[in-house]
Amino acid sequence: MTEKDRDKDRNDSASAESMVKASLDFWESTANLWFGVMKTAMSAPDFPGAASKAEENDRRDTPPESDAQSEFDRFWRAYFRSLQGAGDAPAGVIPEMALKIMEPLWNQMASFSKPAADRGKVGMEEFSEFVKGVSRTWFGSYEEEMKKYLNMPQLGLMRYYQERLNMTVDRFQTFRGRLLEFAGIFYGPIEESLRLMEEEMQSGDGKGEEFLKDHRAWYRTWISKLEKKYMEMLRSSNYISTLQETLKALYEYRKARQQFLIDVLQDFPIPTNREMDEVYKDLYRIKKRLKALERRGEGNEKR
Amino acid sequence: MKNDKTADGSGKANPMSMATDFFISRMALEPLKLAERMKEAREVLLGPLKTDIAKTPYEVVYEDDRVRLKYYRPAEVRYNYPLFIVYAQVNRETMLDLQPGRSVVETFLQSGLEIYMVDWGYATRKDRYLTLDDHINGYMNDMVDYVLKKHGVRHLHLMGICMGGTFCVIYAAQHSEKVKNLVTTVTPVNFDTEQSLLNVWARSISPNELVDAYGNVPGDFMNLGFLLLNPARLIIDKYVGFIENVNNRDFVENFLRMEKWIFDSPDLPGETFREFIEAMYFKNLLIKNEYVLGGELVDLKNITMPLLNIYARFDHLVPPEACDKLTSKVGSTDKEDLCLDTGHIGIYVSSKTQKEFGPKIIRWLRERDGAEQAADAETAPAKEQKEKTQEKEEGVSPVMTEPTLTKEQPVKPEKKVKGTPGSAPAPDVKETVKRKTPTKRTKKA
Repeated sequence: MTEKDRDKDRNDSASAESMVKASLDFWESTANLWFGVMKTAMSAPDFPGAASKAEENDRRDTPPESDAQSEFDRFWRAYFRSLQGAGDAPAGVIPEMALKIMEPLWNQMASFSKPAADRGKVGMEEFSEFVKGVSRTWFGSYEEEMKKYLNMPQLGLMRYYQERLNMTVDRFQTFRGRLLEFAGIFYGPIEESLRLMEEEMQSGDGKGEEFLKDHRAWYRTWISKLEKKYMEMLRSSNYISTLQETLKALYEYRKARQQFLIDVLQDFPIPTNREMDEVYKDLYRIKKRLKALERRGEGNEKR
Repeated sequence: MKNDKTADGSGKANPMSMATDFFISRMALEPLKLAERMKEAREVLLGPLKTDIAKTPYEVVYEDDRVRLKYYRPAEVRYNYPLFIVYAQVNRETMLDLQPGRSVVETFLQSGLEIYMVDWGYATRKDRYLTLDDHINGYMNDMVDYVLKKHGVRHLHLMGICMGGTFCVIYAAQHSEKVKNLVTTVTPVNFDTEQSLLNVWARSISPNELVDAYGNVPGDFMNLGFLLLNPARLIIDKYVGFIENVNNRDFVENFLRMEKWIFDSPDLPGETFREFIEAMYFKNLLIKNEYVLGGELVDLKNITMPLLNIYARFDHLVPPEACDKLTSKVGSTDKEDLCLDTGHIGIYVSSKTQKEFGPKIIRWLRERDGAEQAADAETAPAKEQKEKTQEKEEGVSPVMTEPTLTKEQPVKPEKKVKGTPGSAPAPDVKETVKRKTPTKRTKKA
C-alpha cells in the first residue's frame, strides 16, 4: 500500500467517523431537547410539584426557558450537521443502531471482496450484483433498524415538530432506497446488451475481427441491442412496479419536506406554499365569479 | 488481432473493457484526423452560432393571465378565414417555427393564410387550480371569440397539435358553429392503446399524489419521462451523433435549436393534468363519447365540419392507434385520415415532411375555404340561414366588405374584413350555442 493510499484510507475513515459523530449529536440533542422541554413544562406554576422544581432551578441559577432554547438550538445545529455529513473528530462510541445497519453491509462487502481478491479480478456481473445487493441490504437494514426509531412516539409541546422532522428524514431515506433500486433496474439493459456483444464477438464468425476494425459498426450494433433491451425492460411489470414505488416515495418525501419547511418558515417573514395556495385558490375563485358576472352583465346588455 | 480481453480469467471477453479499447485504439490510429476535427469543433463551438428559434415576426393581439395569442400576418391574405392553432401545453408552440426553411408557420404564411397561435405561456403555482374547462371553454373560447369579432366572421379554421388537438376536438364538439374546418395533427383521442409506453406508464402513476406533491407538474419531470421512453436513442445515441458532427456548423446549429425547444418545457397546471390523466388515460372517456366538460357532454357526433386528421406512423408518444379512431366517431361526412412516415416531432420539422405536411393542409383548407358547408346550413340559426341564402344569391358574404386577394382560388372573389377588432360585429348566434358568451377581456389589442 502506498503512502497516497494510506492517506486516502485515513481521509475516508475520518469522514465516516465525522458522519457518525454528526448523527450521534443529532440523536443526543433530540433526547436533550425532549428533556429540556419536559423541564420547562414541569417548572410551570400549575405543574404538580412545580414550586420545588422552580426552587431547584433558582438554585442552579438557570432559567428553565434557556434550557429548552439552548437544547433547541443544539438540536438544529446537530440536525443540519448530520444532513451535511460533516463534523468534528469523533468522540464516544458508535451507536448500536449504526452498528446494526453497518454490519450486514460489511458482511456483504466481505462476501464480495474475498473471492475477488482470491482471483485477483472482479467480474462485471459480480460487481453489478454487489451494487444491487448493497442497495437491498441498506434498505432492509434501514427498514428494520432505523425506521422504528424515527417512528417512535413523540410527546409534549414539540411532538408535532419532531414527528414532522422524523418523517422527513424517514421519507428521504425511503426515497433514496427506492431510487437506488430503480437505478439498478435501469442499468440492467446496458449490462445485458454488453453481454450480448461479448457473445457475438466470441461467436467465431468473424464479428470480433470486424468490430475491431470498425468501432462504428460495434457502436451501431450495441446501440440497437441496447434499444431493444430497453424496450423490453420498460414494458416489464417489474420496471413499472419499481417506477410506481419510486414515484410514490418521491411524492411522500416531497410532502413530508413541505410540512417540515412550513415549520421552519413560520419563524421567518416568508409565506409558505400552503399559505400561498390558499391565496391562489381564493384568487382563482374570485376571478371565476367575476368572469361569470361579467358574462351575465353582457347578456343583460344585449337583451 | 486476437481478442484476449478477459474479465475474470475465464477466457471470456469483458465487453466494457473491449469497448474502451476500441475507442482508444481508434483514436490512436487517427491522431491527425482527430486533432483536425477537434480544431474545427473548437472553432464551431467558440464561434458565433445562429441558434435562435421562432424568428418569424408576429404580434401579440390578446393576453389573459399567462396566455397570449400570437398573430402572424402574411404578405398577401388569400383565405377568407383565419387559421387558429392550438398547441399542447407540454413544450412550446415555437416548434412550428423552428427555423427558416423548417417552419410550418412560414409555409402557411407563404400560402396567404392568416395565423393565430395560442401561446399557453409558463404556468406558475398560481395556475395550479386551472381546469380543462378553464382552458378550453375559458381562455380558448375567449380567444376564438376575439378572432371572430376581429375578422367579422362566424367561424374559423381550427388546427390542434398533440394535446392541443385534443382540446380542439373537445372545442369543436362543444362549439361546432365556430369551427369551419378542423385539422388535428398527432392528436390523441383513444388512450386505450399499448402502442406507446406513455399510455402504459400513465396508467401506473397516481396523478392525485403527483399534483399534491408538486402543485403543477414540472416540465423537467415530464421531459425526463419523455427521455426515458427511449433512453438508448435519446440519452446516448443522440449525443454520440452530436459529438461525431461537432465540427459541422450547420449540424450543430440545427441540433442546438432542437435542444433549445425540447428543454423549454413549461410546467403543466396541476388540475389540468389531474383531469386529463383521469378522464383520458384512465377512463378513455373522449372516444367513448362519455366525457363531460363544463357540465356538458362532449359528443363527437357534434363535429360535423370537415375534418383532416394527420398522424405519424413512427410516433412513440401518440401512436397511430391513439389517433386513427377519431374520423370514425365524428359526425362529419367530409373527413380524411393521413398517416405520414415520420415521428411525433418529425412531422413538423423534418425536411421530408416539410414537403408533405404543410402543403397538404394548405391544399385541404383552400378547397374548403369558400362556400358554406351543407352541415353548417343544417345547424345554423334562422338568421344565418337567411344570410347564407343571400350569400348564394349575391356571391358575397354579408360580413365581408373588401375584395379577397385570391390567386389560387378559382371561385368568384368574396369580400373580407382586414380591419381592427370589432370593425364588423359577429353575427348573433346565441340561440344555438351552448356557451356563446363573447367577452371583452382583451387587455392588449
